[in-house]
Amino acid sequence: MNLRECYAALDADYEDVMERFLREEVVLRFLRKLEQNPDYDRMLTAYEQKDYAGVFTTTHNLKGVCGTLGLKPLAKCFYDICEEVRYGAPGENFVPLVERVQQMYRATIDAISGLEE
Amino acid sequence: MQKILIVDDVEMDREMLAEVMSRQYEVLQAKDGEEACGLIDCFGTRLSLVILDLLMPKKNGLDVLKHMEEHGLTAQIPVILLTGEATVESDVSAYEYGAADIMYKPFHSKVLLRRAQNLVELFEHRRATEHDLQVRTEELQNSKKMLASANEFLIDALGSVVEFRSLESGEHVQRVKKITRTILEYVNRYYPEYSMTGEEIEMISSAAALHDVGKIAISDDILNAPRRLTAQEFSEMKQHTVYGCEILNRFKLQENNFFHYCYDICRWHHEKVDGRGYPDGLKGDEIPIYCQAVSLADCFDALISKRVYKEAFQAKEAYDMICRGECGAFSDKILRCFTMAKDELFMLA
Repeated sequence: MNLRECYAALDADYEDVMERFLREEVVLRFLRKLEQNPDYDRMLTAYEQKDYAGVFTTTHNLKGVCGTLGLKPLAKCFYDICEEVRYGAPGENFVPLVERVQQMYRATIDAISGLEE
Repeated sequence: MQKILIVDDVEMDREMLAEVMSRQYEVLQAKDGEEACGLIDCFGTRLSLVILDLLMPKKNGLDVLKHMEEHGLTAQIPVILLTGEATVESDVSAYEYGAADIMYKPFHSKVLLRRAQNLVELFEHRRATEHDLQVRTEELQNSKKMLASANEFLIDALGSVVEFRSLESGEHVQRVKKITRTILEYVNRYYPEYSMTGEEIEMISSAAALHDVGKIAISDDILNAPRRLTAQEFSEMKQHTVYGCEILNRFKLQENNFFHYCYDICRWHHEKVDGRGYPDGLKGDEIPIYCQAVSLADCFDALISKRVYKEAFQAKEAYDMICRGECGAFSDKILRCFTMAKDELFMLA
């Protein structure tokens, strides 16, 4: 799978990310760094410990990174969680939102792993 | 290449932003507000731009702006606040703290680069303009000083012409100026009803140089007579106060404070508080305090100087003669200032 196909599969915005970074190898370099970003694991830990301030900070960071990479559906998932905990304890949507972001994050990382060099 | 600073606590955000900005700038990075403040302190105005995240641990973006404001740097270095938080409150705060612009993540690279370039150019232009203005202000101040110095030279030269005609050295004019200034400083300190600015005291001291300019119109026979003048000669000599005013009127360019000081001093530096002076026989407070100061200075210096018709008195002797009223009546206030200034006046003598 090439980069354009990968973005299409993830419903992400290829044109947007290419406007930003101009060259595919630069986008690839940053996509591969996404999996190493510690904020995702920190978010899960904060979620398990009901540390909502921690969930807010990490999802806030992740929505920014994913947005810059043009991964708009994933960025939207992080945005929804971030807003859910902005003022403290979340509502009933919280757990389904976290489950959804886990699925989408895994799908994104898998898609990135399948990219041609 | 111009240097910019990117401040963001998320490493990937920093690197992605640096990737874009390095097309146009040399990029420095700080991982939080505290590190940013250190780099800003270190590089100062060698930084052409700061791109600043809002939410960060330790010091946030607003703390960095506050730090820059405290060091007078928000007017020197443009700051773009690049944030994922788009609330009216944070935007208003950022502008209040001195941010030059606010942009939101995810950024559009062409827009960001163009705004960065516009701000860098704007602030460079502003710095250059301020620098030019400072240089021109200094030049103007220097010209003003030179002009003031040239003016003073001309006034002193004119004031000294009469002394040279009297075969004197020209030091009288200089001493009268200094004595007048010294007495007026005491007047200013102890009699607030006559409050004068430092500039006014300087102007009056300078005007004092012309107190005897009217003597130019007095003939040599009278001016240099090595004897007591006849009543008629003395009457003509007294006219130097009026002649001085006529000379000044002929050269008057505009009615300003300096002209008025010169005019009043020429006319009234021989008036006495008891009304026995000349040419107008003014009494008490009718005589402006600065004319009284020049009158006293002229009198004291005349006593301590050798003239064609007399020897010089010692300063102490001259001081006692004035205090005893042997040289005409002076007001209590001006005599009190004269008394307080005694030591300084003796040094000038």
